[in-house]
Amino acid sequence: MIYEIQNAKLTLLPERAIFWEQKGMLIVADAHIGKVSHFRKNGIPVPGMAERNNLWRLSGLVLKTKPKQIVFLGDLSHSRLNRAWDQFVDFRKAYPDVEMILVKGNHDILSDQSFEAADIRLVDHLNAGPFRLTHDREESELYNIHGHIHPSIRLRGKGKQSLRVPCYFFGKGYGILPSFGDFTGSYTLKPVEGDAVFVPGDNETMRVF
Amino acid sequence: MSELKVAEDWFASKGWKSFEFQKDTWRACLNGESGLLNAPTGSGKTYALFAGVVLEYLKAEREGRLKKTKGLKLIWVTPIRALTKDIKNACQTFCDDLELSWQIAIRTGDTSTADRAKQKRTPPDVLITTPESMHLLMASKGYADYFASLRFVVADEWHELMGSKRAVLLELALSRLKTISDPLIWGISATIGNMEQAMEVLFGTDYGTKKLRFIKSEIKKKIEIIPIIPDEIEKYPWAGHLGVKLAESVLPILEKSRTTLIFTNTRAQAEIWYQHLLNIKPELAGLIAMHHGSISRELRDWVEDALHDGKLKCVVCTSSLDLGVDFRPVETIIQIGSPKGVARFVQRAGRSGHSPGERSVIYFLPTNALQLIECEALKAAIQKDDLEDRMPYIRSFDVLVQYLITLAVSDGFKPNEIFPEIRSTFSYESLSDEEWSWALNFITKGGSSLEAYDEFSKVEVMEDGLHKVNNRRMAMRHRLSIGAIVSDAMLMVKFQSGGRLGSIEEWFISRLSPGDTFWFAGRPLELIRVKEMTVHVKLSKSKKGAVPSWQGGRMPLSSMLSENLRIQIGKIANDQFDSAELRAVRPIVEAQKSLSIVPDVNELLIEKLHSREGCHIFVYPFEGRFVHEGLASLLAYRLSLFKPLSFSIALNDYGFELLSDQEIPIEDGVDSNIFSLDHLSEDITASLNQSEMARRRFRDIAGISGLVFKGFPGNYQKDKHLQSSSQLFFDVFRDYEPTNFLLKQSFSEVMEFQIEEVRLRSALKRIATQKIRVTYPEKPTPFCFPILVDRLRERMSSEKLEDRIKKMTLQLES
Repeated sequence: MIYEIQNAKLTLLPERAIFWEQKGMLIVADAHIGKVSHFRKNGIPVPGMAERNNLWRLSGLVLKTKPKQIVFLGDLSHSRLNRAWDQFVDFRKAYPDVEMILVKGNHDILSDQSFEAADIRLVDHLNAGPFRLTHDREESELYNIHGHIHPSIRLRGKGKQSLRVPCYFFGKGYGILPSFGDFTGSYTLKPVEGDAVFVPGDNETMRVF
Repeated sequence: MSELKVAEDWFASKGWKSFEFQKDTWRACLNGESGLLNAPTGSGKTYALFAGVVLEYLKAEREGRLKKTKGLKLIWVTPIRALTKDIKNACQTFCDDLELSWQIAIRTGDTSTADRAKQKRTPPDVLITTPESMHLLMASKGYADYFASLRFVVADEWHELMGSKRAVLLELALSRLKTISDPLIWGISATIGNMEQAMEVLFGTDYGTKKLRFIKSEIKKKIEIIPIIPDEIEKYPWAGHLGVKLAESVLPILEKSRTTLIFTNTRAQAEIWYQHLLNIKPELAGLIAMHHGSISRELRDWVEDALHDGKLKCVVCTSSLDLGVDFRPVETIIQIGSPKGVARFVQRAGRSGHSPGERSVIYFLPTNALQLIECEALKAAIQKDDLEDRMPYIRSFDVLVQYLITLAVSDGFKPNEIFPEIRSTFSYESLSDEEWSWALNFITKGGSSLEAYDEFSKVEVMEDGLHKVNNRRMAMRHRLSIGAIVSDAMLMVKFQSGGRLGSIEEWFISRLSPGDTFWFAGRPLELIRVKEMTVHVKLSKSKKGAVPSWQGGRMPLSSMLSENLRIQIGKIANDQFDSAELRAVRPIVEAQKSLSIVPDVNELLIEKLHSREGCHIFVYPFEGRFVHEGLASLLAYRLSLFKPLSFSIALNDYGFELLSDQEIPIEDGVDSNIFSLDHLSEDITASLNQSEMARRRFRDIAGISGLVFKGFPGNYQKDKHLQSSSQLFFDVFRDYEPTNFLLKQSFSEVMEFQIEEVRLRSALKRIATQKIRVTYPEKPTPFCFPILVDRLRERMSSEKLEDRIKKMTLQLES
């Protein structure tokens, strides 16, 4: 699904990331690498598969879109150093030609050196064309694209059926990405007139509002 | 049997006469037997067992069979903390009079750390406690020594525990104690429908292999049920849950009774009734109080003390006062609206008239006209002793996982020793080897992990096979989450000037903004701010405000009550108006009959009518809302196989509605046996959103099994990175570990307790024998009206709703 906003064509991928083809830029928010491992280390048995799948999906996306750069909109890592982070570093090293930039988020408590050692450039924000890319919302002249919220939306069906699903949410002056990581939770938003909401499905992204 | 005389003399010294059941219990204890005592509250059941325990001890002492005189002798388990003090007093009196220097201690969640430490150092002779606290004891080092001298365990109010996972906690604790000290075990239970099973659950595989006694008290309390009949039934609403219209007729009842308890079904209803009574009779100020589960412990204690001392004329309460200590001044009970079950009604009635021989008086206040029929059904059910079953929980993997970790944090356990114990319980009798190894894997490896470098750690397997938690922080986290009661995220409500009022669900507060007024604990409060799990408020001058509604107030009508209700409906179908209640509803019955019919017991009524909204189908199985939810979805699914249709569904305890904007081919459905039992399981799966239901069930499961941890008290920040929601777990398990037994458990709980599959099946079986009558009323009938109104209620705000109802009533009368 391609969504045109501010004269830019953004591909809203069903994998919960945006590809801006014109710039070769892949935008990923809230991957929370290491969250599952952090839980498991503390005796809470989240299926380990959930962690590995994050990296597989990320690798899959790189192969699919062949980006020049990846911008992580914060919360790339979840907690302290652990094995999941090592695996992420392995992934990073597998694509030395791709520039990787992290807009630091509140969960990114690893030392700056850890990120630099993994050849990840750290920034507070990134201005790109008509967009200002940040972790949380910021007042800006530019159209603000951010993460942090983990937006979802409630869909109602026949009878008493209802379903809460992660979504892309574009409002006036800002757009929010769904969280990339599995096991990351979400916050339900209610769209108003003028908003645009997209739901990533199994194979394609659909506009629902 | 000289010991028997000790108890009889003691009774005589008090001027009492012992009952046959008490003597039977004493004899059984002296014979070294275990069993179940079926006796109601306030019948002297405490002395039946406590004296039995003491007599057995004295006999063993006389015969020189006592190895040790020091140490714990009796554990008395009660589900209700409030009862512990009374039990202790009763036991203490008996010991003092016999000059027996036993130390009797209470251990519950309220016991201070210092007292707990003292109990640990020098064990009391008698410990009065809860199932959770027993598990906490088993989570501390050296617990086996602590229990080594135990001779008896008494499970008080066993009927109350039976229908919850707390019973499973007790079953597991007993299985451990049987190995450690093999105590005699006694249950005390009020009468329930499945008395036999109550014994089976308590004793596990011992039932049927060991000799066990069943003793039934001969005491039967007389209950007088008085319906409050509206003067003009024609004008009394056909729908409604509140009943405040009849508040005026409550006043004379309060007047002539010393103290009255008014039971409502929900906390919101209690708040509204409390306000309303004060409005119509301001003189009640200071004499009326409110009691419900969200009000702070301190306030509730105050109300209970005032009740005890006879200082209150009236208390508006919810199930929070169903159980607990007796309040002697209480002479009268008023039940507002349907009690939903026979046993609950009897239980509530029993809160009045305590002295032996005194009868209980309970008034039934209908919140809508048709409920008068329910009153008659209740009378009939009580007459026949038709009490509900308590469904025991079986194979609860969440409790199993919790228990295994409990053992691992104290002294550790060896699987081959513990497994047979666990399999000896009723709950886990059918646990397979595969399921057992899953549970072990789950706590040691964090599930079916195949990774070589996995960092999972919780329970470690030592060289000798001992399963143990060595990390102190993890052990502490586990101790804080022991138990089987999971509560919603609750915020404390506090006056800005200090003083706690109680707790309130987070989602309710989240809908308010500072400056808004809401009613809580009987007062209008203005929201100042919400900060760190505390809601700061001050008294508001405004009298108008939202009344919080709490979730969980929607119990379905029990099978016993609905069965009796169908009989009463059958009676009025045949014009047998043989009681005041039935005669009172006669005008409404006539209205129903003129528009449609009243179904006889061998008939199922379906009403079809058209409105601007579309085509409505109303079906009346009188089976309670859960079964109706299942039936409605099933019917909607099967009808949509005839032609593509979309429905909206509404229901209450009497029937359900399917609404569609197109013609509903119900006639074709009836012709082709739409209520058939064939392919039922497949159709249920296809029609009901089980996944969503299971997801809701999973909340408790995640809490009990320790997946979700709310943080250490006063230490929220540090564990922030470990906080998560049960929903997330549900999703990752479903996506990555569909074989997870906790996940499967959520689905089977849905089938058993939510869809009530067994009841659904038997309802369909009954329908198969019934004649289906389809009628075509021109306008809404008294039967369908409440369902229509409920559907609107869900869709619209309350003020608009009232307008809508007014309009509809106008339409009906014209």
